[in-house]
Amino acid sequence: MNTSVNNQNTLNPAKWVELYADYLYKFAYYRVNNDELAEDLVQDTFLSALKARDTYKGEAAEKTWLVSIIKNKIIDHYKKASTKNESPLKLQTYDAPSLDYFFNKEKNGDWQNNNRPKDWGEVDSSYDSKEFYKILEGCLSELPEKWKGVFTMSLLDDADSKLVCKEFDLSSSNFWVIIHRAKLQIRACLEKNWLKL
Amino acid sequence: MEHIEEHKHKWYTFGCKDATYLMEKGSFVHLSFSEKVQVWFHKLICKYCRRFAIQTKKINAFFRISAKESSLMLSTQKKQSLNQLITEITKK
Repeated sequence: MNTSVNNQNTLNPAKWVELYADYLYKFAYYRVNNDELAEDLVQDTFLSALKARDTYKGEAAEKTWLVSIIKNKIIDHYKKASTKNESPLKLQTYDAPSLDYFFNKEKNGDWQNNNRPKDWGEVDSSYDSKEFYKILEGCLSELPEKWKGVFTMSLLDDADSKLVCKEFDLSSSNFWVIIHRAKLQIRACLEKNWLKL
Repeated sequence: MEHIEEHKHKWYTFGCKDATYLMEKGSFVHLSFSEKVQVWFHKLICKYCRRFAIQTKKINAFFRISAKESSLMLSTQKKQSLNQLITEITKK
């Protein structure tokens, strides 16, 4: 067989908006929970991609290449947010409910009587993903920026959690602490605002 | 690196705080045998942590579904302006 096969991917910027703008917007939106920011990230991604198009070697598909660019931009956003806000990881600078709000220190860290998980009943059958997300969005917006990033990115990108730690410059034990705290808060927020229990 | 207090737990004071922490950790990495046993035993005796275990998994699943099934689109206006921008730059 003497047919030459061209495996090389090529870039076609004229088609980017039509083919990838919605996908990239959605990708960013669910990781930053902010429509304006997501729009900006899409634009920045196209601009960076255009600048870097001479270095594109065609090894990755066009879409994969663009996604990797936007992902880096999202991580940069969270990195910037964490320096700007003067360390949102320091719990004392953040007036969210402390762990003591959920757990009683004196009783081996058992649930506080008022904040125990309530019975959610048959939540699967009655749930509407749009409505759920709207409420979740509100709950996420109450988290410190970096926690939000750790939460959304570790859940949506099934990547190794070690990778997320590295990207966010966290040790793995800090990562679990953040996930635990974020989850306690989100769970309680959903219970109150979504299930109205 | 920013300071954040590590979670430490001892078997003789193992409570709901520790159990929920390990459940969250366990959704990303494999827990050690002793961690698994502690969580398993705790869930046996604690109805609230049994609830938490189910609910936390549901939240993850619902969140993933919302992101996956979303029909969110970029506005036509923004698309037009992006197209213009790209055309201008590629012309140069």
